[in-house]
This record gives sequence, C-alpha cells and structure tokens, in this order.
Amino acid sequence: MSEKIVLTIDDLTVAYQNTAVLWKVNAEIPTGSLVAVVGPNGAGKSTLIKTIMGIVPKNFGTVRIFGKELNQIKKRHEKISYMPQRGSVDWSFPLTCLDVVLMGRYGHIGWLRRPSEEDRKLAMEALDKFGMTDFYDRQIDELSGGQKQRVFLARSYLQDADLIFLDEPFGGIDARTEEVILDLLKELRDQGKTIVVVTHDLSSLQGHFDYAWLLNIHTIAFGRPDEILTPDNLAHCYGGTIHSYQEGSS
Amino acid sequence: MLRGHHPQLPGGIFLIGYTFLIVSGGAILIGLITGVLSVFFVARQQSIIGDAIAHSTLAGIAMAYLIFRQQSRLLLLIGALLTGLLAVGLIQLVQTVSRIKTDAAIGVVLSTLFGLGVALLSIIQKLPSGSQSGLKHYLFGNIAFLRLTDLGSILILDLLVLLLIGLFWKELKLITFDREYAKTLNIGVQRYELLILTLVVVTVVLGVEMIGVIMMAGLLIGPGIAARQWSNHFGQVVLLAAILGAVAGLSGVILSATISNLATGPTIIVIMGIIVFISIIFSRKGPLLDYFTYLKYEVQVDVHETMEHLSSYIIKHPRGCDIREFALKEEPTEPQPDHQLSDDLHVLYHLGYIQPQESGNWVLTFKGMELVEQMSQSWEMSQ
Repeated sequence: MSEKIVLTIDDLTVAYQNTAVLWKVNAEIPTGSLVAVVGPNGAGKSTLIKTIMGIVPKNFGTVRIFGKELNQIKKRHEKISYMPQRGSVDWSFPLTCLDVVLMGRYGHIGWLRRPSEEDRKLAMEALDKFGMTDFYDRQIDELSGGQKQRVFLARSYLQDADLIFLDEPFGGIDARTEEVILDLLKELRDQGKTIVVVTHDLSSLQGHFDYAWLLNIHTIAFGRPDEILTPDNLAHCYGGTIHSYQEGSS
Repeated sequence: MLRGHHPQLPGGIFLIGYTFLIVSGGAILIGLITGVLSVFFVARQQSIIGDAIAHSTLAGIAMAYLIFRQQSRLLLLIGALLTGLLAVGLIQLVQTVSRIKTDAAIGVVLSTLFGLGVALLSIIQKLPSGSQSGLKHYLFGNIAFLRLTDLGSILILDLLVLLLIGLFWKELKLITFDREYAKTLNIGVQRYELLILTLVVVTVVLGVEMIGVIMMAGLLIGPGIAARQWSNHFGQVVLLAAILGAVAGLSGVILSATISNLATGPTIIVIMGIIVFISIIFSRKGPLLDYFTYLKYEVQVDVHETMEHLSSYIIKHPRGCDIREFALKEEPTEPQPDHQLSDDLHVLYHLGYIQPQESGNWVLTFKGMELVEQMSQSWEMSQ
C-alpha cells in the first residue's frame, strides 16, 4: 500500500506476572484512517492502547509513532491523545463538566499558566460538538453514563491531536448518539487524523470503520472490515480456545 | 507580629497571653496546611497515606534517640523526616514490584513502621535515661513543645505549600482526578506526586510534636472529607478544608486552655471529627437536606404520571437503560427537560422505585415493578 504509516507495532509483548496479556502483536496503521480494535474480554485491547501511550510498560517489542519512539516525541500532547475508559476515574470528584473538558488544553497551556478565556471558549465549543453545552456547569457525578462518556470525548476532541486513541467510547451510549459520534469521528478522519477505537460493537464496523483489528492476545487479523470479518476469523478470535501463553524463563 | 505586642502586655497576662498566642498560632497554621493537603488524598481515595506517613515518623524519632542518646529536638525531627520519606519510598516500591492494591500496600507499610516505632519506644522506656526522654509525648503530642521559632518554621512551611500548590494548581488537579490521562500528556506525573508526598512528610514532622503521630493522621483526613460535603468545586473544597482545619486547631487550643489538663492534640482531633460528622449530616448532600428536598419534590411531582412515562421504556430494558437520555430524546422541545426529569428521577429514586446500576443505567426496583403492575391493573379495570 502506498499510504503513509502513522503507527508501527513490532512484536509488542506485555506480561503481568509471567502471563502474556499481549504476545508479539504486529500492526501498521495508515495515516488518516478510522480503526476499530475488537476482541473478547481480556483480549488485551485496553492494555494495547495503554502500552502504546506509555501508561503500561512493555516487555519486548517496539512501538513507533510518526517513526519515533514515544519518549522521543516532542510536544506529545499535540500528536497523540488518549481517552481512558469511563470507569477509570472517580466521578464523585468535585469538578464540573467544563473543568474536565478544559483538561484537554492543559498540555497546550503549559507549565505555570492558567487556562485563558480563549481556552474556555474552545472548551465550550468542544462541549457543544457533543451536545453538552447545557451541562457545562454541572457537577460530573450528576451526569448519566452516556453524558459522562460525551464529556470524556469532548476532552479528547479538544486536545486536537493527530493520532487519537479512544477506549470504549460507546459504553452506555444509545444507538443514536453512537451514530452521531461515529459521524464526528469520520469528520476528524477526513481532516487527516487517525483514530483508533476500542469497541465491543461488531455490528457498527462495516460502513463506519476503514480497518478492523481483531485482537486476542495477538493480532488475529487486520484489514478492511468486509474482508477480515469472516466466520473463520471471528471464531478464531472469539471462539472457545483459551490462550494462555507463558513467558519463557529468560 | 507577636513580638510587637509583648511590651504593652503586663507581666502575668503576658505569660498566659504569649503562650496562648504561640500555641493557637501553631495549631491554626498546622490545621490550615494539613487541611489543604488532605484534599489531595481524600479525593484520590488514598486518605490512609497521610496516616502511614504520620505513624512512620515515630520509628525515626525513636531511632534517632537510640543512636544519639540525647533529646536534641533537631536530631529527633531529622529521624522523623527520614522515616517519613522511607514510608513514602516503601509505599511506592510495594506498588511497583507487586500487584498488591494501593490501600493494602499503604496498610502494610503503616503497621510495620509504627510497630517498629512502638517496639523501639518500649526499649527506650527501660533505659536508665529513658523515662525522662519525653519520647512518649510524640505519641499523643504535647503543645508545650511549641516555641516562637517553631511557629516561624511552620509559617514558612505554610507559605511554601500554598505557593507550590498555587503554581502547580492545574497539574495537581488533573493528576488527582485522572492520573492515566495526565500521564499521556507527559507532564511529569510522578514529580508532582512526590512533591505532594514530600510536603506531607515535612508537615507531619513539624506538627508531630504538637499533635502526636497518632492524632496527626486525623488532621490529614478530616478536613478533606468535611469540606467535600459542602462544595462541588475543587478550589472551594481546598479553601474550605484549610479553613476547617484551622478552625479545629484553634478551637482545640481554646478548649484545652479552658479545661485544665485537657490534652490539646486529641482535643483538636475530636473537634475535627465533630466537624466531619456535622458536615456529613447537615450539608446539602447530607441525609437531612436530602429528606427535605424529597418532601418538597413529593408535593411537586406526580409520581404516577412520571412512572407511567418511564415504565413503558424501562420495562423494555430489563437489564437497565439510560432513562435520563431517553427523556431528553422524548421531549427535546421542553424548556429544561433534563433538569425537570432529574427532579422526577430524584423523587422516584428516594421513594425506592428506581435505582442506578454500576454502569450508570437505571432499573426498576421490585417496589417499582409492583407499582407499575398496580398501575396497569387499575388501567385495565377502568377500561
């Protein structure tokens, strides 16, 4: 393929306590594509993204983003952004929706500075993009699951990075909102951004995503959804086989 | 500031007034700063970390005494500082090398180092010089330790902590709320965490003589919890925690000055505890006001109508549905549909008809199902 590659993963292996969560994962993600990472629970989807983002340490392998290792990337917040799963934070924390979304600008604002009026304006626009304008001053624990999700998406959107990772953005979201968000992601893709989405919704893959990445500890298949979502591949990925790779004594 | 007033005061009152001013000044400053710091742990559900640091300092104090065999306060406090930092290091180490959960890791370090401290203290008590060492004051605190120079160092600490927290405000807020996201912004999460922990260690060391290692922990937890009950804004919570910590400190000193032989440190902590309980019960999130809100809404909301509105939707989703979003879709032209529904939901929830699930979705409770059943029966009969 002649497309430019934004993310290259070679033999990525991550283990917790000698049990491989990811085992020799390989992939190449073309620039400007919308990619869905799918696989059963415990397939290592979230770990994959956290490892790429440097939150979880890797055991072997390389991850290259824009041809560089993560720690060589300058102004990382402008290049890569990450949206954690909704359940990863304590929503009773004393913050408003606007406070949370503004965090998407913290990297840009930099050290020792306060968010400016301009930052607030941009944050309000991001809230608007996800239909949350009316809730900007709402305490975050008063939100429904879907609304919390939209606040997280707005924060990620505000960060305005070139490569975006979203961990389960459709959890607790109704079908109509999911459509709206998918349209937004396609809009971002058309602007040249690359978006990698962890999702459980296999039915939305065709017609929305450029690539599907079937993952279960290692890459089962990667390609156009209509080409790789074959019964064979799905059985291989979701089937009853239990993968339990043990790391060698080395 | 204090010095300027002394010459005007007559002798007797001077002595009482002077001690009182020093002691209350110290208690206010320590209460204020532990209050500010407590928010960062309580909000992260790591309240016990301050507890661990406070308890660990006893081992350092006892060790310093055993090694140098003298009561030099500076040496003892350096010992406290070292074991405080050791506790921080050990907690981080246990978390990195093992899969033990944070609270368990902190708990292990706390009990081990405090155990060591008490064990060493028991040795010291048996030494010929031991009973005069005054070390047991460090367990529960003794306000008489406090001198003007101490007040100076506590004031400097207070200003330093406030300055640093002000400078790194947005970073600390971000890390406290969403550590993983903060890490992806590459802002040096561990540096800031270490900064807060170091500030806590220094605070504990400066406050430990007054308040005592056991009681110190209460000041590093209480204000954060109490303040959280009154506000939903992070800045207000920090400010309020500082005020409540200072109020507890001052009232503790006043009370123990009024009642003879009442120890100051424990009095401060008891008052802090009372403030926490009052906050939990009387704040706008507390059960008392909640009950009044419920009474108010019950009059305004037609329970049957709301249930009818929701039940057809909720029954189709036996495993839970997002009814707030459903309502937004149903009546998008209503002036404030979501707000209105939130009130309705609030009442239904307090009447026990619906309940939220882990996922954020809502389900009918058994009581709710019964009501829907009754409603549909009476509807059929009227047909």
